[in-house]
This record gives sequence, structure tokens and C-alpha cells, in this order.
Amino acid sequence: MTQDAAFPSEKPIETEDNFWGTLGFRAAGCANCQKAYLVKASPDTAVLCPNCCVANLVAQPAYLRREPPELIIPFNLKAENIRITLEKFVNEVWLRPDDCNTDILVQRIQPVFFPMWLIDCNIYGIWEAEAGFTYHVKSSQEFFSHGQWQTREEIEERVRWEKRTGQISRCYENVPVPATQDYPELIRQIGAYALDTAQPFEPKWLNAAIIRIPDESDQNSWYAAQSTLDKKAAQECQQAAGAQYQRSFSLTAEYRSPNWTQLLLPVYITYYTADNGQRQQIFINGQNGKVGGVRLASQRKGWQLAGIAFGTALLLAILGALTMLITPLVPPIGIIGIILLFLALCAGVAAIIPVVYPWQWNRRQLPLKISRSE
Amino acid sequence: MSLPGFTPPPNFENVASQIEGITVFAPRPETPPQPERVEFKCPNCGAATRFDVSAGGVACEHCSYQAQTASQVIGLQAKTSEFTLEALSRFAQGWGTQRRVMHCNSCGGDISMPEGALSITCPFCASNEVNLRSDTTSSTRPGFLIPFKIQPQENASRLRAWLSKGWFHPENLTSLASTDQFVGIYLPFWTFDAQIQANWKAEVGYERQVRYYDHGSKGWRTRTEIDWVWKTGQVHLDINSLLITGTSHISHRIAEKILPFDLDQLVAYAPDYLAGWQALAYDIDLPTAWERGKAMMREKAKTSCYHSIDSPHVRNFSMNADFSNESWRYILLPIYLSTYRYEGKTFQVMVNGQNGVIAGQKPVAWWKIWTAIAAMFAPGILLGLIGLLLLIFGGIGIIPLGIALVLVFAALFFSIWLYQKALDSEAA
Repeated sequence: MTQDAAFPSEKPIETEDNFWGTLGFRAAGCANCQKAYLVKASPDTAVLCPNCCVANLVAQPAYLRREPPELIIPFNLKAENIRITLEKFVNEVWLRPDDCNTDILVQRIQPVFFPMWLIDCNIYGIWEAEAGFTYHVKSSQEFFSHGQWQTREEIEERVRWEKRTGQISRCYENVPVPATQDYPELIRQIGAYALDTAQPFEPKWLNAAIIRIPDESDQNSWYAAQSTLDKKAAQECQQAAGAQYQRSFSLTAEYRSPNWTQLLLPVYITYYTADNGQRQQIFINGQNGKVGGVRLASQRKGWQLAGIAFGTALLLAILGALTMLITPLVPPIGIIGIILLFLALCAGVAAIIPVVYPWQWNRRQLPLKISRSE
Repeated sequence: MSLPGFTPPPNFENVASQIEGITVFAPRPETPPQPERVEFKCPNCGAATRFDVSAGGVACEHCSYQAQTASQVIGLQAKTSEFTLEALSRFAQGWGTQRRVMHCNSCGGDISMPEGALSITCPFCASNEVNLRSDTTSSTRPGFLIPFKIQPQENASRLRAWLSKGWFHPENLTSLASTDQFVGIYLPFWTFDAQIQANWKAEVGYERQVRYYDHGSKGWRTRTEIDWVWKTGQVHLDINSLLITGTSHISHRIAEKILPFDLDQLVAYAPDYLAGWQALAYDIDLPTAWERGKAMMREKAKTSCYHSIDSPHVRNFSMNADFSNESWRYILLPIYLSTYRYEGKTFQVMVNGQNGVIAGQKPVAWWKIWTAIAAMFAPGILLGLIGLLLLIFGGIGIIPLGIALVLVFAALFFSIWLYQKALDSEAA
């Protein structure tokens, strides 16, 4: 099919313009991570890149379709709710970096709109698959004891695979397709949006937010759309065949009349600086408040706490030893010496905990890291 | 909307779709021949044809017409079905050829008969009082069968030879027995396959010789003591094609004597094989037959467990047998049934239609049995009497009395064995 022609055409935005029915937006990009945004045109205000949180955005030309987005999900969270949500999120981490503080995080919040595509498309084609139908088989276990047999019947579920083929002529609407490369990871962290609450785009919803410019090529977006459409078709073919399972699905299809709709999703982005100086993003779903991001514990703080505990242990041990030395002169004082030595031992053992905790905690956080191009 | 150029693969048919806009084509089920009427008529002379054993196909008795039955020997590769009740319903109903069921009022047997036959001697009870009734029972179609290999005309000589065997039967049995015609009938059988993983636990006793001083005899002796040890073990058993009768209208005792059948000769069911022959539908259903089969299998597993124990002393034996890959077939096996009358009594005979093994009831000349028993007891009793007489004259009589006792016990043992054998010969 000629899906390229159907994909919304992009044109370069090079200067401040009043496109989308709103004034004062200009294209800007990050020299560090190469992500492009639309920001309110005010050359004096430095805007930190919400993607890498390292460099400020600078004016640059960008490719963008001229038509405004068709839909938008407005920000729906109150400031106090954001604070409560963030506080709860960061307080779960013991020994967090000093920079990972609710007040600082709230102060750094940037409202950002992330674009995504919704595609409507008709599929006409021929499908083929192996459909799996479950059936139940009666089996048994026989027990012999004290000269008597006892039977226990068991029902086993098995799958019978049969070939199925046919034609498909279906229309799929509002199939979500990423417009940015980090969209799937973002959704994994802050959850999906209720797309049915989307409203027709109006410039007033943008406020002071900045808007991420799509960085997925139209070809990639189409491939992603096609893959999602195929998955939907596969699910429906399985359902049509009345099968419980399906494998070896293949579809030879024509994708007709694709209709692309752009939707803007609200995300709050903030960051903190970890021990190693790297800035870690925290994302908040602007619709439902779900928070996501990497929460690193401070290994430096851990070592500091461990040092204090170890120093205390050392001091107690010295005191205990001295007490034990004078015990022959004043025997009752021996009990204090023993207590001091015991406390020194406990403090020494406890000193291990703040060292191990950040290491273990940070290991568990690694899979949550968003792969970023920096 | 349908796309141009879509042709479903051959043998695929349109099936119901649960979503509008999607059509579903599935492989056409391997439908067995519909129960349409198949007339076995000779294309040359129009006479009725029947399956001819020597020709291996349908043949005409009036002209030289022969048609080979197109069915390959499948043997034990014959497809098995899993133990799901849905599998039963998947099978087609009926026999494929229009047949009628004859119901015997005397013994209750149901015999599937070729159309046109109005009456017949019941092969089970020799009764001629047979009524027709419509076939209201729905049977699962048998999947496979073993065709008759033994010619019907061979059975008379086979019967005569069999009747003449054995010394305790009437001497005039061969000459006086009025034999009815042998009826070739396909009887229903179930075959069962299963794998069994058996785990056993038992106390196993190992013998140990112990020397001890006997204060009574003032000497050293040995005695056997058993050390009991708890042991466990595993046995894996593959059971293939265990045959269980599918009809209650034949004597299972006689049927077991004409087993086994060579199941490597199984062929796919085709109505041709039944042309001119009788066939009986099952009346012992699959669950009932499987319970019997399972009971036999678990006993086999138990025996295998016992055999795996390295001592004859076993107590507190317990085991569990885990069945897996259970499957079954419904097959027809060829058997000739007949009865003969001797001195007003009816006796049943069966011949394995594949290999000719014959078994059945045989009358017993009881005077021969009693004479033999008397002859066996006579030496013991006689010697006992002599021993008693000798006791009057002194202690020497104790020796013949002892020998007499041994002889009487031996006679008793052989008499019981002979009596059982005679009863077994007459039993149905």
C-alpha cells in the first residue's frame, strides 16, 4: 500500500511562528541528546532539556507537520497532589541522595506534552494460522494399600492444533502508535492513558508546557502501526475461529484508508542528581498521577553512616577493653565492660547494613532505567 | 466483502465465525461413509455378493465376479483415540451400510443382520425364535477390523477333530453331535494402550541363617530368621493393545481361550468386509470396558512391582500406579460361532476366524470321571486296609498305612483337578 502518502506530511519549522493557532512557539533542541521540542518563544529564558536534564534547549529548525494535533489529554493533577505523590515515591528509598527531595523535585517540575499517533485503518486480506482448541482427557491414578485398590481420577487439559484459514475485512480505530522512540518505555513506567478522555485540541490546554516533537520516522511509525494492526487482526482471527490458542499466524493483507490522528499526552518531568553526578528523571503521568523513574540510593551516604557506626563500635570496644582491664581492681565493673563490648559488636555488625543496602537497592533499580540517547 | 482470488485450500470448508468480517475455513472432517444404503449386487448377473475369504474381497457366488476390497493392512499403527467423551461423539453413528438388528427373545442377544434376512438361528443359544426390531441404539462406528482368514467350510472338519480329542468325553460324541452351521460374526472388542509409572513401598524380608544351641537335643542347630527392611522402587510399564470384549452376549471364558488375535493384521473398517456376514455392535460401553482394562493393567503393574523386588518375602506392600497416554480403539474381530446338540443339551463352540483356534463346551462322560477317581483312590484304600490288618500282628503295619495315606492324598489332589477340568469342559 502507499502508506507514505497517507502519513501526515512534515515541513521544517525554522522560525518563531503562530502555527497551531497559537503564538510564540519555536522549535528548540538539545545539543546533548538531540531531542527536539516546541517551546514558548522567549530567548531570555533558559529551558532545561526534559529528556537528559543536562543541557538547555537552543533554537534549531525541526521537521513537524503544520496541522495542529487533533486530540489532547489535558493536565489533570493539582499541585498538592503532585507533591503528595512525589513524597510517597521518594520516601520509599532509605539513604536517598540529598538532591532527591520532594521540595527540590517539585521545584524542578516541567510539564511536557508527549505526542503519539492514533491510526484508523481497514484491513483486507487472507489469514492462516494453527488454531489450538482445548479439550479434557480423563486420566487416573491407582493406589494399592492394605489389599485394596483406590482410584483417583484426574482431568487433564490438552490442546488440539488444527489449521484454519480465511479472509479478513475489518476496520480498526484508534490504534495507538508511538511517535517518539522512548514512548513504549515511558508508558511502561507511568502506565497507559485513558484515551477515551482525550479532547479536541485547543491551544489553551498547552499553557506553559513544552511539546516534544516526534522523532520516529514515518516509515518506522507505519511499521509499528502495521505490527499493532496485525496483532489485533491475529487476536480477532483467533476469536473468530473460537480457538483458545493460536500459533503460526500469517496475514497477507492490504491496509486501506489509514487515517492518522495526533494526540498529546501530559507528562510532568523532574529530576535529581545521583551520587555519580548523573541526573535521573522522574516522570509523573499527568492524567492519573502514576510516578515512574529510577530511584537510586546514595552509596556515599551509606559509607558515611557505616563510618559513624563503625567509629561508634570502635569507641565502645576501646571503652569496653579499658573497663575490662580495671575489672580485677573493681570486680563489679566487669559487667559494664561486657555490655560495652557487646554493644561494640552490635554496632560493628550494624555498620554493614548501610553499605549493603544502597548496593542492593540500586541493583534492583537498574532494569527501570530508560535507555536514553545522550 | 471478499477479496478476489481467494480460494480455500482443497478439503477445507467454511465454518461458523464468531466475528463479523472474518471468514473461517477449516479442514473438512474425515467423514466416514454416510449411512447410505450400499447394495452388494453383482454388476454382471445381479445376484447378491458377499465378502469372500479366499478372494479377499466382495465376490459373486454365481459368476466369476470378484472385487478386491481397497483397504490396506494398518496393524498396530491403527489410530487410537484419547479418553475424552467428546472423541466418542466425533465418531459417526451407524454402520455405513443399511443393516437391521435381530433381537433374540431367548438370550437377549442383538445381532446386526444383512437386509433381506428374516430369521436366523441365534448363534448364541441356537434358538430359532428371533424377532426383528429396528436398530434404535446408536453405536460408535468401529474404526478397524481383522477380516476373516479361515474359510467357513474348514470349520466342520476342525470341529470334528476337536470333538474327538480328550478321553473323558462320550465316545460317540463325534458321530452323534448334530452340528449347526458355523456363523461367521464380527464381534466388538476394545483395545487399550497405556503407560504406567508405578511406585511401590514395602517391607522386604531377607533370610539369614542363625546357629543356636538346642538344649533339648544338646546340640547346635540352625534356623532361618528374616530381617525386614523398608524399601521403595519404581516400575515403568508400556501396555499395548490390551483386548477387552465389547459384548456381553458371548461366553468370555470361551472367548479368552481363542485369543490372541494378530492385531498386526488390522485393516480400516469398510462395509465390504461385512457384506454377507454378521456383525455385533458393542453393548459394553467404553467406560465400563476401560474399568475392566484398567483393573487388569494395574494388576499387571502390581505383579511387575513384586517381580522387581529381590526377595520372596514381602509385607505391608503399597503402590501407586500413575496412568498416562491412555488411548483406545474400537475394533471388530472375526469369530465363527456355532452350537451343537448332544443328548438334548446345547453346547457352544467358537473358532478364531483369523487363525482357526477352536474352543467351546464339550459334554463329559461322567462315568469315566468317577471310574478314574475310583481308580486313583483304590491303591491307597487297599494299602490302608492291608496296613490295618498288619497292625494286628505288630508294628510293621505302620509303613503301609503311611504309604496309603500319601496315596490317598495324591488321589484326592488329582481327583479334584480332574473334576474341575470336567466341569470346566461343560461350562459355558
